[in-house]
Amino acid sequence: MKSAIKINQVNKYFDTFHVLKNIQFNIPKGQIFGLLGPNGAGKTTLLRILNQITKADEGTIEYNDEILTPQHSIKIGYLPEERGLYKKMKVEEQLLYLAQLKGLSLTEAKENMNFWLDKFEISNWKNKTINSLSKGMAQKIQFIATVIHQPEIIILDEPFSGFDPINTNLIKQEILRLKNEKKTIIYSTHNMDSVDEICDHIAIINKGEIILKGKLQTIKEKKAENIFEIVFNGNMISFSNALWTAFTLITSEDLGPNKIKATVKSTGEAHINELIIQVMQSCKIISVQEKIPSINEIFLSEIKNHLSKLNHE
Amino acid sequence: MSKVGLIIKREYFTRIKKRSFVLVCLLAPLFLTLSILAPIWINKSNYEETIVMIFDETTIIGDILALKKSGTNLKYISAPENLKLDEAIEKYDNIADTIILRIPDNFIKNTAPLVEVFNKNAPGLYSINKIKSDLYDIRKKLIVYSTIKFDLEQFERRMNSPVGVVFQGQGIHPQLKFYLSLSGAFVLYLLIMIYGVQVLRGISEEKNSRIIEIIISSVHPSTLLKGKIIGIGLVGITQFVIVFSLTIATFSTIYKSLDIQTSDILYNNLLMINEKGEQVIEEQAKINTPIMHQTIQEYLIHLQDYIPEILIITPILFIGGYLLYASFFAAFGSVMDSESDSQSLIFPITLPIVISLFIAYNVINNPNSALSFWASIFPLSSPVVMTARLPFLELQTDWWQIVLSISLLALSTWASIKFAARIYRTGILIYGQKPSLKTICKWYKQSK
Repeated sequence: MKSAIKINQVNKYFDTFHVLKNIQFNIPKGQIFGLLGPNGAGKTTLLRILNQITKADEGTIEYNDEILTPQHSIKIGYLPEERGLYKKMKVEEQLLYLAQLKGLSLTEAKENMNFWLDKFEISNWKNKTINSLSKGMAQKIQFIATVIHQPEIIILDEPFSGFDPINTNLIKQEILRLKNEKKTIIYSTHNMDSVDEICDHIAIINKGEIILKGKLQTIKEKKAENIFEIVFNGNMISFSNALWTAFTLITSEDLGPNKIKATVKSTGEAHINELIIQVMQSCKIISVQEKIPSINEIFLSEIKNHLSKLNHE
Repeated sequence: MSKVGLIIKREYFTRIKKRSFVLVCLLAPLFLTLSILAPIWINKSNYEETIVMIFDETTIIGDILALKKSGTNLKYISAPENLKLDEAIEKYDNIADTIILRIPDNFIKNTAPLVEVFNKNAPGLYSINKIKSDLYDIRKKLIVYSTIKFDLEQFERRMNSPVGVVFQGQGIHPQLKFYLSLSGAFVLYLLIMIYGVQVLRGISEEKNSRIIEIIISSVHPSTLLKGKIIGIGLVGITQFVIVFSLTIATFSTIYKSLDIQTSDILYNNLLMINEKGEQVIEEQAKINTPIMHQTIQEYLIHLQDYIPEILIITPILFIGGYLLYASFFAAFGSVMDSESDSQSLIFPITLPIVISLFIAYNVINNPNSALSFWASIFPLSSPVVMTARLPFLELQTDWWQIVLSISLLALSTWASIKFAARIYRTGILIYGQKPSLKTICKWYKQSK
């Protein structure tokens, strides 16, 4: 898969503090890339470097195999975590100004602005000042300002904060639509549920280091621990006996008359097929599935392991 | 349009569209015109306020008083010969602007001289004090010279003849130099401060509203800084040009109508004294009536000699001074976390320009002193002090001082903008810190 962005051995220091340590990963083109990490991990600094707001002290960034330069800023749209717009400026003036700063002509800027305002059904806000809008309304304007110049790379830092569930879903759909248009989206967040929902690739950063990176599905599969969840009609004793030595019962839950949910772990390499074969004689299987860890569980476990490793060092 | 052009356009138009800008443009000319015309109105009122009708039993003091041009709101006239004191009291008792003054015959000889004043409404303290001091002066002279009425009239005429001064070979009228020096320095000081602070507030606003991250992901911070400073500077120039033009237009309109009224009132007031001596009054009328009109016309004619300084050198000094101080304000605004913090801590930046205004006030006393000279060369004070010195300089011989001043100012402005841009680049993204001077120096080094 072709990379839209390549980050090569990037280091950044604030005075003597080493903020980013040998950061290296690629962001695949046309995918949604989740950049995850706890507060103070270095995410914002890395995003600022990608936006050329600050410079890396060491290392390079490539955009489509070219060294990233200020000329590429037109290809990038950035929604920072700390939102901001000119409070006393009208929505229309603001969007046109920001679009033109990104290199659009006035006509193009007007055309794109009208497209987005119509899309979000907020054309009547044009002459309102940001001061007079609610936080959620201003967030929408900010989102439009990020994508108005049709950038190839869209960097979104906590894009859903401040939105109600309806607007969160609206923005989520827009992000997925932009992905379908082959835009590359870099998505930084603490909201792990949304990562599970929309991200294709992730990187987890902690204390300035990348501790995990790759395709989300692959990571999840790798982190799976051969744990299965099975719901059946029958009795628990015969089910336990049927597991034999290949599986161990971890938990069980009574779901109603003669209905049980059990969690079992493979003791060796035995997989879901073996489980079904072993228990099908002792009970009536309703459902069975491998328990894949959520991104939240992976994130917490990775951070914990990394911190413990750092403490030992 | 280039990015810097876009920024200039935004900074410029958002400000000139503000109601406050329009209000200042419309009201400032009126205010300035009124402040110029106020002295004329005050003068006018001086001539139409109070008539002092004298009943003189000494037969000498009243005549002298009537000849006296007090230069205040008092007009002395001798009572008509056929008018008795009682009748006058009865007749003028209800007229607020007429005071009846009786000077008893023993006034000169008496060791405790007393006069009587009749007026239904008690005359103002200032009027009473003025009458007392005028009488005191005359009485003292009469005692000292022990002279008779005829001799004294001639003596007074000689003694009170005003001293005329003809100024030759000095170009601009000396009093005009004084006005231009003070007003020029003050206007420059105001413009630099007002628009410098606007730069600080603009940067503070962008930093606090957090839009700065979006803007500098599109343009280089130096471009943003340049656009902001130039945009706001253009607002200053626009406002100055509008206010200057409208002031001249308003002044001309009001002055023309006022001129006729003032002359008429003056002339009528002077005619009232006709009851005492026509020859002298007419001469006074000729001298006094058009005096303000002549002075202002004279100023306007001499003002033309000053056009190169007003139209070329002063704007250059404004641009240099504004850019120099605006860059300091910009660096400061980017470092501070909130507008209130910035405003309370801008004192160190404003100190040099405040001091330069004090120096400018002293320039009118001694425009060529060492302090005046060096302050007009030193870049932090030169915009204001050189503007104050300009009317006193001869372009043909003193041009090198102006060139030196502007060159050093340009050099300093260039350096300060470079310095400010480097502080700004880092400072604008730092929140929640009140950086020390050491930290700021680090930012400067880091942003190479």
